[in-house]
Amino acid sequence: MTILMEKYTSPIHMLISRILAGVGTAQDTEECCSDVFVTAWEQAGRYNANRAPLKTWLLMIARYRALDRRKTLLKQSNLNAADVELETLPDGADTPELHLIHAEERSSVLHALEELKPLDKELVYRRYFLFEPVNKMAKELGLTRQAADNRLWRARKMLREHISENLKEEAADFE
Amino acid sequence: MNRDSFTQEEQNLIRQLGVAGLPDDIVDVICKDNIPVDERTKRSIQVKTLRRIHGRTEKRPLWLQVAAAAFLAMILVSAVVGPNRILAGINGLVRFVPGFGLEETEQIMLALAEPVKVVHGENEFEINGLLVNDEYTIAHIRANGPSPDSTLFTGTDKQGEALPYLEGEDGARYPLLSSSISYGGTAHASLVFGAIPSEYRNINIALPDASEESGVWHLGLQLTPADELTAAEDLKIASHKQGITVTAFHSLRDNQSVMTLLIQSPREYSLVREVGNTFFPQNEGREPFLQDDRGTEYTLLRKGSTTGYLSDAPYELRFDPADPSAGTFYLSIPEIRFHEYIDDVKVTLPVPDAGKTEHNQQLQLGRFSVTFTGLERVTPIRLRMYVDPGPDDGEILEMIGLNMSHSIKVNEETGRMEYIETEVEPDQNKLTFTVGNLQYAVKGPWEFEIPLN
Repeated sequence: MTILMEKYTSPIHMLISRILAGVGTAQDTEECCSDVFVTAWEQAGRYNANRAPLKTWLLMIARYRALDRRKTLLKQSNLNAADVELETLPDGADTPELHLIHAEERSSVLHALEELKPLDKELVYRRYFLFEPVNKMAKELGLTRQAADNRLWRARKMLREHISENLKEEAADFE
Repeated sequence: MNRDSFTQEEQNLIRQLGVAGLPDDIVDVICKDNIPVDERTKRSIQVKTLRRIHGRTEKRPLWLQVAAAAFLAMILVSAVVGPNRILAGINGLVRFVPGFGLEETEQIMLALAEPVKVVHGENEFEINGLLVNDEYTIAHIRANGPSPDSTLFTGTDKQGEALPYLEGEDGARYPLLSSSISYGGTAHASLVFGAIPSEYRNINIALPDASEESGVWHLGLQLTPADELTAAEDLKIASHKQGITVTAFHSLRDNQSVMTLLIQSPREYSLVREVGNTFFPQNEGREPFLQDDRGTEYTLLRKGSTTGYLSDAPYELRFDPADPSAGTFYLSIPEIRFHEYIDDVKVTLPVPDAGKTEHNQQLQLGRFSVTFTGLERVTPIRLRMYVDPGPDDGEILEMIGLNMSHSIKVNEETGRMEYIETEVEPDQNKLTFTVGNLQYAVKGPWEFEIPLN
């Protein structure tokens, strides 16, 4: 376990820090990191290397744990009005369940994400994987709210087209 | 609707994206400005986690233990960085990579089997290490010459193409992704290129040279598949004492010599805290000592310890490059200090109303037998617990970790605990606490004779 922690503490800590930014303390981040490794230890049997790399699985746990803690912290501090989206996520979107991952679809999604420009990619990652409020992202990235919305709209359009195209190509290859 | 709520269209997209889990590069993309976690924080997380896991191990149902064991075995095969006795023993997969230390072959594809020196013009280049994995290619190069600086590594060729780049044996070019260059006396560069095909055996690193017509020269290197590199278990420069095996490997890295130590202890949940003993700096002869056969002594700098499962831990001692005329190193490690996690042991002690009382209460902490020999209320709110840490059989119990604020007095000559102090209430007549970890020193010495190539 120490080997696992030695290798992955840094990326996990960075991801959790990002999600808890402005809400949690350094202590919250540390505890959340520890939660991730304990969860990995307890749910070891669920990991399937064929579905996703180990790092991805650990980061999924980290995201789930950090979002959960973020929600709790926001509730405690009555600041959740700005983060109502955490309550409206589709089922399964913020769980670390590896069985939701399908190798072919994962590959098609990852290829589509690769087509995004760096700034759009960051917006998409922060908005649709970490569920950050658009205003916060816009401010931190030096964009107007409108510009951030426009970029996200274009990115969504492109992603839908690419994912669908990639899946068609993979299906054709399979036939 | 709140402007930050997700529309139905967005929720559909989130579901679609969700099948990817998380993108592999998410941390790189969104945390690019974050400062990597510092060693202290990392250590704190590790200690917290180990305590929690250790506390739960005994309570886990059998099926969970089996699952965890399977998981661990998988991790050892797929994600280990650094040495591990189990891995080496079962699969022989740990290899010594010059310039990098011990690596696990599942994580690397190709490497430079040994450091290479190349003279180009008035400059000498030493390639201390090159490693290829499925994400990148990294090379550590040192350059000596009349004016060693970053221009030895970066620039453009006459066509304006950025240098350096890596060129494969099929002519494919791999641009520089990132670099770290330092200079002053010598120039040192760590160059990172994209991953290259595992089929390559010969590559060139294109470097700037204004005196060439093309503005570029090629540093040719031959690569070796990871599984053909020297296995850690074949290096055999090991020393055994007190059931602990220490294996030493010497290599060059950056602009320093590095002695990588693989420390294998049979004690579960023990972590190497320190090679040598800075805990008692006034005591001579407890620190590692290195000299060569010319009589030159080297100042050793410790480079943290990476902890490993079941006590296996790599540890690095860095020092100035060896005297070129030397043929052998003599290394002595008088003692190694460990941190060990044990099952929590609950202790209840009577608290005297005032003054000191004799006491005789024995406590088994792992394999250490500790006796509380006396209790003294040194102030109305401070209790002193006198401790006998047991016989010195080559291991000295220096500290114990209690689940309450406390201080420990250790004899500076012998290293043995004398008493523990903690706060109590003026009317308190009983004190209960738990002990969850130990700190102990094991005496060697572990001695090595290491030939220099």
